[in-house]
Amino acid sequence: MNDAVQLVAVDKTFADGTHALKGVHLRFARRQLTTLLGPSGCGKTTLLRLVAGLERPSGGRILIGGRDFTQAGPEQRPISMVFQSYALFPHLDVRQNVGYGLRMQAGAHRKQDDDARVHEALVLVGMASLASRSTASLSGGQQQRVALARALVLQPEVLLLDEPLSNLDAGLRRHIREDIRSLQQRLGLTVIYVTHDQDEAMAVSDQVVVLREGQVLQVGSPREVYEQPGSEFVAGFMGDAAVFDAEADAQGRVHLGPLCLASGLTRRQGPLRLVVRPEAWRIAPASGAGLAGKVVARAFEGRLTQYRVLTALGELQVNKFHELQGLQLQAPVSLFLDGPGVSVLLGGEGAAPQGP
Amino acid sequence: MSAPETSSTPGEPAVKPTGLRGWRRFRAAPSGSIQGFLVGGLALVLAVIEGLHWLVWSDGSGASLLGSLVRMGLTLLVFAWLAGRALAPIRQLGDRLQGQASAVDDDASPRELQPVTEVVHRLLRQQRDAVDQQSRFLADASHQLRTPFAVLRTQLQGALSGQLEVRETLPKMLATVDRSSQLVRQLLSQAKVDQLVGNAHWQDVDLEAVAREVCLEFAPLLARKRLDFSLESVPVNLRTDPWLAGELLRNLMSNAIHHSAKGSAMGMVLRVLPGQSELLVWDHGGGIDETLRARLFEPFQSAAGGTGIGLGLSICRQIAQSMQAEVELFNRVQDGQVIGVDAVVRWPHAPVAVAGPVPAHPTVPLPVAWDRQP
Repeated sequence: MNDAVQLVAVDKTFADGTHALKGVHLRFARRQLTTLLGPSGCGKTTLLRLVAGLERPSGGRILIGGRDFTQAGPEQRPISMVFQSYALFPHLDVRQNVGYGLRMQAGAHRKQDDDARVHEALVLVGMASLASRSTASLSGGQQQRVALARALVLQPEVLLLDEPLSNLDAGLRRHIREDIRSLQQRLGLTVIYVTHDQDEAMAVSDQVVVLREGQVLQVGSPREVYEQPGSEFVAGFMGDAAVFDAEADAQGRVHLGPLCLASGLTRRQGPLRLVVRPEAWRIAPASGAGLAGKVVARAFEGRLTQYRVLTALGELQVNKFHELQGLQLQAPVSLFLDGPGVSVLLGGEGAAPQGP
Repeated sequence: MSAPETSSTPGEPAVKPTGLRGWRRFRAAPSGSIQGFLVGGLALVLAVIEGLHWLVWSDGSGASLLGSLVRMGLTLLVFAWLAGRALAPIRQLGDRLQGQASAVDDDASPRELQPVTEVVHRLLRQQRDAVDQQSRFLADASHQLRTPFAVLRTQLQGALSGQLEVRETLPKMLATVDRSSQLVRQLLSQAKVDQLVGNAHWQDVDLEAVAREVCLEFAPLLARKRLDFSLESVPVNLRTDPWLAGELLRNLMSNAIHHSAKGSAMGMVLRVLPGQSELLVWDHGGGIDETLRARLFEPFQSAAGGTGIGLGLSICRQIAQSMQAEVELFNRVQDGQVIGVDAVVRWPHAPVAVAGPVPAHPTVPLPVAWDRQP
């Protein structure tokens, strides 16, 4: 059994009638970081709390390490959870906060062993030098590291992280997410990570699960989910995208307005929906070929320049990286789609459900 | 591709006469006689009424007739006074306009005549602008014409006196003569454009055919510079003056050839965008400086290092405006590098609805500080 956690037809309805999860089948592979991604109210935190044992499912089974833990309490599960709000004890110092979980664990402990494990966990998160500090005097980033150490010290089979970076500022968020990823890879941890930020999900994950309204829309590597979205919702949630009606001919070439895209995108003939990322457009000097357009707006963002180009297909967003010389407003251009960043939607909305 | 819809016939006067209709009718009557005409007319009507009144109701005594005549006289006097008061503002405005043709004081003019005053203002302003433009052009043109003659004279004097080598001086003089004839040609073209813009022959024009014709005209020049030229076009029909459209293309072609290096690529593209037809003449000459871009369309302004006279683009803009089109220059950019210049003319169509793509944005996009042209 290679799966650390398996959900089989898990259903959750709250007392107020909210149907938070609808027959979810999911597998979380060992030593992988899986992100649960979706907008607010999609059921991602409920799913995490069900795995942690903080909620009981209305239906289905939850297996951890191949054993059924559906009805087990949180303390019986080989799982640690880090909360969005850190949940540190303000009257205890850093070392005591980290050691608290060990003291609560059943069985006899040798204090020296516990101290060694606490120290080890604090070294892992780079907080050993602040072990005797009060948690109230720590910054947000430091408190998050202490919370992480407190989860790691228990050496759980599965580590659950519930929006761990949402209370941190942008610069620190990037730094801590790199630390979490490096720690997970170094220790070979199985991590389930909840976030609503697609950039964060793509930066840290081995696998991304996109949820919407209590259902799994798509599961795949960040690249798969970004480049081959299963639905318009996933396409849009994983970054900017425009969706067009296009037509495939018998040779598999896709025709979009005056553009003819190389074969290989689809094997089906007939009308289809085409997803185009803003960076997929190639801007060329104006000519009779390609899609005729003119630049109607531009936004310079350092390494990235965004353009809005008016064409017969509408006003399109086009992103260019590392532009030396930008295009002037109203400048004529021709657009082409001859690189990556274009995909065909195979199913309709809510496609690509994952089987158990 | 279907032919685009063309805009309504250009060349309509800028000031619509609707607001002036009453004024024009009024002015059609002999000046100064309107008051007399009104009073006389009223007197006649009153006389007829009073006469009838006397015949039907009078007891035949002279007293009744006398009373009626007195009443009629009084009514006429009151009416004459009222008519005089009512027409006074118009007389005042006329006096003021005669006294100061350059401006009319808005605050001093009667409220009833504000619309008329505004129209007069606008007409005066347009007239003044036109005269200023002409004066500026004449001053520039005479300066530009004087300079090469002065240079020629100096060169000739130097050669005659032996101070300059004849063999070296003659080619220089030839260049000066060439430059002067180009200047004269452009000045004549400008004069013809000035004349034709006002009397354009609007008709449906096949722009693709005009473009092809102009390209053929320039074939010898393109060949002389061994330019790798291409014409890419779609059928476009416009309501315009064919001579003006051709003249515009000739100027853009001439400019592009002038700025192209020998053996480089150059071309013309005619294509359709949402809401407009676009014609561009591109070259692989140097780019244009952003600060110079707007000024290049002013008379006698040429690009840095350019040897042109600087009238071609000014003529282009004038023609484009007369066709209700826009002409602009852009840097031609490939992979973030400026590789040349696009001279672009755009004619607006009647508005066309464009079915855009469905943006896949279920999340709120991050705010982007878009730089847009108002």
